[in-house]
Amino acid sequence: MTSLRLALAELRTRPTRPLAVVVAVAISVGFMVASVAVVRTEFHATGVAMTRQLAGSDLVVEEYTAPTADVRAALEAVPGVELVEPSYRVGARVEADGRSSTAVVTTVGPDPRLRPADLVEGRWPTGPSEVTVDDAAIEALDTGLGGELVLDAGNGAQPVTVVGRTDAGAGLMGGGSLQLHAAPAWFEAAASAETGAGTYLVLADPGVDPASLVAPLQQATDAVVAEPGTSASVQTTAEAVAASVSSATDGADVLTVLLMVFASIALLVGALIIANTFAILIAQRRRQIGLLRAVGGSTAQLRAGLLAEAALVGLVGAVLGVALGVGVTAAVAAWTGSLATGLQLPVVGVVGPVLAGVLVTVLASLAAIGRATAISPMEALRPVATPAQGRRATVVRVVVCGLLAVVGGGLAAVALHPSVVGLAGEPVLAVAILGAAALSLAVLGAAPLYVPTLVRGVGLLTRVLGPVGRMTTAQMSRNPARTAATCVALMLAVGVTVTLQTGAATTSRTLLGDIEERFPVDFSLTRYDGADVPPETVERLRAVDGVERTLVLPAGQADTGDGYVRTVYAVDPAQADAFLPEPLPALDDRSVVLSPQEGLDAGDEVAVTVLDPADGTEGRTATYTAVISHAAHGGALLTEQAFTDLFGQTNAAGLWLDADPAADAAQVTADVSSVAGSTDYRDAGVYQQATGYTQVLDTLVLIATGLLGAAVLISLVGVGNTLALSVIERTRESALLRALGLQRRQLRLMLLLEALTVAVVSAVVGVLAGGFLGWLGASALMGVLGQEEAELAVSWPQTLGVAAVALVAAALASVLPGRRAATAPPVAALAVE
Amino acid sequence: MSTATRPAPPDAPTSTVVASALDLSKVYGSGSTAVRAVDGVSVNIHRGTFTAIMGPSGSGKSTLMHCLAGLDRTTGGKVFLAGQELSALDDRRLTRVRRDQVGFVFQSFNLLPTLTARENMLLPLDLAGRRPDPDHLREVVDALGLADRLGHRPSELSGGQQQRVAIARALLTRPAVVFADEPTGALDSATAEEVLGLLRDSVTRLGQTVVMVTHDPQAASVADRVLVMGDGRLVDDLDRPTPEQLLAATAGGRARHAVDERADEVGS
Repeated sequence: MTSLRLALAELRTRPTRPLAVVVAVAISVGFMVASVAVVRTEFHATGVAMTRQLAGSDLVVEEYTAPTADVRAALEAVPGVELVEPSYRVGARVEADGRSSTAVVTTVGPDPRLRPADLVEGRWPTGPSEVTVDDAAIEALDTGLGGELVLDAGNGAQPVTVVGRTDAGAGLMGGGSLQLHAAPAWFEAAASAETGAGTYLVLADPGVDPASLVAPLQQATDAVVAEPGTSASVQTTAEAVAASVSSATDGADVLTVLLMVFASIALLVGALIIANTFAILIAQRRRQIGLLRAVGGSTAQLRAGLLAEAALVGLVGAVLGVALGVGVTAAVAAWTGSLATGLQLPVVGVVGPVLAGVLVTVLASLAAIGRATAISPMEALRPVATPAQGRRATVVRVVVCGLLAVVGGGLAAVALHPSVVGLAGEPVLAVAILGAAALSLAVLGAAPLYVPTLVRGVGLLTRVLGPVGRMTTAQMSRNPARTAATCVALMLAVGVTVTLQTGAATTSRTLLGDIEERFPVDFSLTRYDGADVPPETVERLRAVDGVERTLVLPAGQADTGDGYVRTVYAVDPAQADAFLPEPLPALDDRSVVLSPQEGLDAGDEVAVTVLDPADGTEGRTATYTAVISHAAHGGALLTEQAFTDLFGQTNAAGLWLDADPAADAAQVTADVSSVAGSTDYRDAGVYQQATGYTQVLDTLVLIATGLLGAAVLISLVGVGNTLALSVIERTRESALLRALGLQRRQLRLMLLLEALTVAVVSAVVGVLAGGFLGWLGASALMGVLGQEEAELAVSWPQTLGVAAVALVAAALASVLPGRRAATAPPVAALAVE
Repeated sequence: MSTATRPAPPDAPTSTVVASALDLSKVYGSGSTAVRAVDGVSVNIHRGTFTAIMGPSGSGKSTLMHCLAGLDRTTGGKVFLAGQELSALDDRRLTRVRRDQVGFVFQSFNLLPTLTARENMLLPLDLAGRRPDPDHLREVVDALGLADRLGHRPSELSGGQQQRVAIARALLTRPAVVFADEPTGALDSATAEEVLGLLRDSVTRLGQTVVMVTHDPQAASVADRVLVMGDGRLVDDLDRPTPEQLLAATAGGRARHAVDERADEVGS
């Protein structure tokens, strides 16, 4: 009890001192709570959205096999059924003024109780050529009320008119399809019979329990389908929604685990900050603790008091973290529109993070508490607080970190050159992960050994700023353990972020290099009918934003002896060399260039048979010697002379396009296909696929960087906190310096330099270590993916961005402590404490 | 003589006056808790003299010194130091006055633990961006017997050595006035005597002006002039008093002005 009372008194008197711990715990716990809650909420919303077409119905009947009679009539005949409406849902291609996209079209029946969405403006469609669109469709198709669209549900294009607009609300995981609604008449007329209804919505008579209708409806459907018993499912709508939601949220678990990895990194960085903060707090309270011991407090009481304090601080942080997490979830849900279906806060997702937060706080404080209980009662009697602890050369640290570095280095070397020891594939990845872990521990653990040297190195730069710069370096060398611990937290945050960025950049460059090699032509278009590509089409394609070069060349369809229909291009070696990234191999009129493939070797004889573009009938056949090159990019290349001999004529039916790799791939692809039209051309481009890879990787890195931002943020809270606490310790010294003539701004500059030194040291170590580990990981991963060698690539804008954020935020973190130090009145220097 | 204060000095300090207070008062707190630590004190400090300010705890002697040295703001009246009126200066210029015109010696030495003895000595010059005059440096270091201690950090020095470093720090800028606040308070009597001798020497040999706050009559007896404070007022002004005279003066002061506990807490 005494211990708890002491802990509470301490927190009441100086509530701001453990603030950094509270903030670090709150951010980590908030992150975890939000990870679980956001994912749950979004998937729940998706589950609900998937059943939106079931809207206000009481029961849902889904038939699995083709009906032999009118299902609807049979269902309506069941006593207690008030109304039955068919519910259709089909995918369709939708076009408007050259823009096109895919959409999901859902029925909206005449009964107002069975509306699958909310109408925002206009009216519901009634005729066969009317639709409503959602906001996403309005944006994607640049249309609006009264707009004309062309819908193609696989049964020919049909014009329709937009008569209304519905709200969105599909949630973050809802997918990118545009949502359209049409009357049953459209489905019956345009979407063709084969789409069928499949699903029927049933309204029960007032007062009739929907569950009581399940069996009668099942019997009714069994009577009209081919295979009674397995033919249809009859569910109450409530059951159907629950099933849909539960299957949607099952998919959430993987994502949650992934987010938890990031949350753990944030919590780990938080643990370092917490340990550091407690170490400082204990150091500041040496006299007080000595006094407690002097008046008879046992070490057990002291330890219990400090543990209680740590647990309380952790609990406060964790509770704030829950509030933060819920707030973030609500904000995200409001933004994605999932708020309407309700926040999902699983109990485990709240209690787990809170426990984790408290536990980590207590664990992280143990070292400091151990040191506190070793304080002798004599401390209370000493007139002046003991100076900073000496630099005990920690032999143990040197030995352990040295061993880790040697082992990690060895494993990394093996992972980078696996063939030397005869390893390949997944084991290499395992070796790389082990090596990276050992190296990380060595770098982080050895920080107290090398950080002082690096600080002095940075000190050589700050020295030019005069006495203030020199005093900064001296100040930081005073408690090397504390400086190192602050650096380690920031180092870890920066390092993990840069590891990820470099890994992704390296992966991206290696894969792209590979794709570039395999598909040297971004788009290759061929007229199916063998007619020439019209010059105005070439002109228009050249004018497309992102298209850099065009090459028109003869093309035709042929079987290259393996049963595959390939496009044969005739190349002029000079023109092709100029167009392709790598020069063509030497060709003569008896050679055919083919892409590398199983069972085909250079020099093989290949029979090429011309196919009629109209009906596929075989024409002339000739035999060529195979030349293997990626330049064929899935087709076949002949010389112009060989092409004319084989096809009996030449033409201008083929077109190669070279696109800017930096352009928006989806947009360029859409523009190219809208100019070329989809029906006349065979398209062998891989441009979108290649740039798609990079974009996916880029997006992943961006998201991960954002998530790791929490860790960076926590470590910067630590930088500010260390400064703030050391300012409290140095009140007398600051006052002395002020008395001796140090200007306020010089005092603030000192703290700014301290913060920047920490940031620079951490950023340099973090970027170097992170860069190496990222490359190591990517190399091992490339081995698994069958790539020969990873090309090191550093994502400079992102990496420098992280370093810049660390520097700027560290500078900001020094503002408040600096202000506090500068307001210390010089008279305080004379006061004997 | 023991009851009268000197007549008020003229508004403009004369050429031999390096520091002066004019109707100086300093109040801590406000309303019912207000404590008048210094109450209407006027005094001139002349160049090249050693002045001691004495008085019991809570008499306002430290506060008077803080105000004279530009460490603390006054509540009323004026303070002149080296020809500048301190109350008219902003923090930046006041800081510069402290840096260039004032030297400090504190009871608890107040050296920076991270700097060596030499760096501590040169700190005010460093802050001013000035280079030390090598002859002056050697002279001061030799006079204080610190030549073989320059590379040591404060934790490796004895109390007397630390205080000598602090004196060297105060003298090296050739300040208009060296203010010493109980400089012997934390030293044994032999070391205290040595430190007082050094301060005395700096006045006699270097022509330095020294103002020292002390409650020890023995220490005050090395001064040319002793101001006795009581209850925030100047109650006596003695020329080269003997320790016996001082004992009598401060004992009288104590009798007249019972120590105010509250002022004691706030004033020191």
